[in-house]
Amino acid sequence: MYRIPTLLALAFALTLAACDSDPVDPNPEELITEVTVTLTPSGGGSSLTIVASDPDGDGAGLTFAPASITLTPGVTYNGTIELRDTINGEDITEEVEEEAEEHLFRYTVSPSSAGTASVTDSESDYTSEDDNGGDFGVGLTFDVAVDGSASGTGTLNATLFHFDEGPKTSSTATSDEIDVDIDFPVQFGTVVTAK
Amino acid sequence: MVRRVLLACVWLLPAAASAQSTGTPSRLLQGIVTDAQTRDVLPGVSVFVPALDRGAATDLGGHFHISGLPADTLTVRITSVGFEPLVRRVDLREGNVSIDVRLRGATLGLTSVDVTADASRQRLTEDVRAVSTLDGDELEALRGSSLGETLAEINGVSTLSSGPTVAKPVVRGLHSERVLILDNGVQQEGQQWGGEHAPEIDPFAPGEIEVVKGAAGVEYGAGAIGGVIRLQDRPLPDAPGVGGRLSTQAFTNSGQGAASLFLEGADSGGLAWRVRGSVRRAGDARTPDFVVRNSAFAEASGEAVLGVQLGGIDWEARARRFATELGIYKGSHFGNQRNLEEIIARGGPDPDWNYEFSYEIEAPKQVVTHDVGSLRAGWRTGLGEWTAQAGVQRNHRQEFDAHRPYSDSLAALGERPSFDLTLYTGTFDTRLRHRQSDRLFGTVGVSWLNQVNSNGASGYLIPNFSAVTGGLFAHQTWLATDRLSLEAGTRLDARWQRARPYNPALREIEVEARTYGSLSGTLGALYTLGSAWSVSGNLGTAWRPPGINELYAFGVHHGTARFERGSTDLVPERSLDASATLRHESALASAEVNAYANRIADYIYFLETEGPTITIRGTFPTFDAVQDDALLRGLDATAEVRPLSWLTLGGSASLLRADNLDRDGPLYGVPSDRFGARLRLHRERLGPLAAPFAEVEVRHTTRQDRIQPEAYLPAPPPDAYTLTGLRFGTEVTVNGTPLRLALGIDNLFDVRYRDILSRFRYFIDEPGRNVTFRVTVPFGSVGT
Repeated sequence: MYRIPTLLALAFALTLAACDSDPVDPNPEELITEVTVTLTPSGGGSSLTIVASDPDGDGAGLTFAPASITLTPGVTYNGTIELRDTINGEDITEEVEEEAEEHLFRYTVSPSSAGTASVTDSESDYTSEDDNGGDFGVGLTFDVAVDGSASGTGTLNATLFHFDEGPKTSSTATSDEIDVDIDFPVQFGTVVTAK
Repeated sequence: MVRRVLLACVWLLPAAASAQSTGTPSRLLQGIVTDAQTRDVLPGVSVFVPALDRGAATDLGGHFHISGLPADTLTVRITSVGFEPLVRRVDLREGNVSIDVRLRGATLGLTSVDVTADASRQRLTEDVRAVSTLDGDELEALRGSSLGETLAEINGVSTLSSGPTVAKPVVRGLHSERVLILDNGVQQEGQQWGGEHAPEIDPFAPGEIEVVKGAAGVEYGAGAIGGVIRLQDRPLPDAPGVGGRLSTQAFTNSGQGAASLFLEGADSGGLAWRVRGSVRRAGDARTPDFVVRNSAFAEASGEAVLGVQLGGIDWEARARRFATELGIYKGSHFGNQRNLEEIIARGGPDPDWNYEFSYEIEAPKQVVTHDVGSLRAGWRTGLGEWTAQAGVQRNHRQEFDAHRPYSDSLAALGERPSFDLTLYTGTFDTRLRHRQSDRLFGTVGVSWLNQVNSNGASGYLIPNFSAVTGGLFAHQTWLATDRLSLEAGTRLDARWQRARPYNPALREIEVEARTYGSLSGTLGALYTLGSAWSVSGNLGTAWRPPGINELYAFGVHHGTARFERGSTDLVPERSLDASATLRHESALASAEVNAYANRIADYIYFLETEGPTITIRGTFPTFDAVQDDALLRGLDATAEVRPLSWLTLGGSASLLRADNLDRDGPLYGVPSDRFGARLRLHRERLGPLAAPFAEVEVRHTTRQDRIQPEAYLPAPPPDAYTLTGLRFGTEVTVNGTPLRLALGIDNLFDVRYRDILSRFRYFIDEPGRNVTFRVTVPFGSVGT
């Protein structure tokens, strides 16, 4: 039965064909890793900036710098928002502008008694009107009106709805796909800022 | 499910068969039985006609004869220790028949085998554990469905689904890595850890599907603590000639069309071959209320088998490819937990979709190919029968997310998978079946598995890894008396693995090596009571090392809005499984009742941890891989009564109670109780129709009220439901060719329901009414 050792050797060689050297490690996927909100008092004054970052993408922990921002009661702020993918070095804000009809930011102040937020831009600010002829809010710029009686701590929530099914159909539309949902920590009160 | 030998292989009728009226008993069936490999004559082989409860055994020259048979077509079952059982259809209408039977050495498994000439006894003594088989007509009646859906026909097996396109089998509450699939002796290796990764198997290929319920670690090594699904092709032909079969199906619910064609042949010199090609193509499935958006799929498979006898060695070479592209329900793709809550509150698909039925497959989708090549050799020495089998597999899985990249540069690259894994597996097994005497026999074996996983895309859900597993086992059966058989087995396995996981704390890829090793064991006894009853008991222990995803997962799992974190602290889980089986087999009835208790120490599962994961995308519940002791107890019972020659009544029940012993309460994620009843009317012949039947079946699934207290449930468990199905079938001979026709209606009353084991139960109902039509056409010398 000299064939049997031959057979075994052949079969074993076959299984070793599955052997391979260490494969290449994967790249991180595209993610929004940094969101910057800048608030400028509408009556003039120095602007406030807060950055939410999650440098590895999902899961390593979301941090804010500074830890919170302080909003002055009775003041209305003009806000802007910027999105970045720091891993792949992409400015996502530009992409949102290009696809303004597929994106909609919504802002919420909590507690609701502390103020209101509203979107101040529309699709035609970035592109011409969308495929459906609609022209709805986008939210890359917005206003936050802080109530005169606001005090204590709260949050400013920024949520980005992504309409991958095509253009949104109203300025209050929502979608099943939220790409950004952040509660920025906020304090209400007057701060003495060194000029 | 009871093995229906009586009905098996009706479609194997020779094409040349001509209709003639049956006459008075007068015919003689005789023949000779030889070993297909050595060509030695085989004495003491059982040749049995189940329909008449008559049989004979071969003499020292391998000859047998059975006289006084009716002038009719009859099914004959030929069985012998150490050989694959063979079912032959013989046509005695035109005269006496002489057949030449070649038995092939059994190559699979360690099923305890009987030594008496009695088919019902064979069923009574099939295994000390609960074993269910689908073959012949039962399997033919399900053709066109996926493997997962087909297996759900077996009592004690349920389905873990992710929409209409993904179904994977759950055996007694356990699934994925705990259930091993063995395809013609080769362990199927894909990314089976994933609940939404269906087995990559051509559902047309198996000629027989056998499910071993309960721990089977001794035969199949570490991992098989829930059960084993054995898929076996029909044997290669042994008589010279060429034949084949075309089988086609149409399903109304999803507009599915499916077809499979095989051709096979043999020459007189011991060479045999088969080629097969299958396709399945379906559009979107429909629930009673709406079309399930993006649930179309396209699947194609091919297979080639060559068997040859050279110098006393029986060789078998196989190559197969399975390729599928399947859509995942569009509505299962969403953002964060807040989206999920809104979707559940809405209760159905996005009202803005206005979606219409189509065959188009869009993202999210899975594109999977699986290639297997194997070579098997069998030979005999003075020690016994040897088999050796080597296999290589490549599993390539790409999953495409519905999310388009923001970046123009990435978007310009076109459709790219968000998940791209290639798994290479090499396996080698050799085993020796030896006999010390007619009453004492056993198997010893060695197996080896070598694996490399390559993550070709992005994300850290599954790291790159390589692994080697080796095992050594011995199993022995002793027929202590004519009624009592005892068996025992043990196995040693070791696994070495090296993974390259992402360490979120250090923010870098690490190299982590691990080694596992442990023993499995089994003890069993089977006792026959009279000629119609048997009882058996089995005690088995098996173990499973933690899976790669359980150790290293880190990321959001799409379609479930959960953030999964593996744990490198996990230790192997070990099951201690005790079961008792009562079987009855007589002309009037068949029954199998199996009770079991499976205690799994350090059972690994994902449990929601306090404190959600907060990301820029929002909040996701965090699921950590944890270990608790679990106890799964259950009862699987099936019974079939044949009070009249044209009437069969059947019933089944599958109950499961699973407890988490460490957390005092139920265990999460197990199926609810299932009950079934069926009534079948059948005749041997009705005018021009051969073997016509009509069947009605009702199945009830209870609501799963036993929920682990800490388990995260976005919505309450779905309600109980009852489904009704109808089936009709017959065989019609057209121009000498027997066509097999079957018409079925699933979910006859278009019931709206959701199941606890559907991962998409939060989004969509299960499919509604489905009318199926099947035609099978044999040609050439198949089965003769």
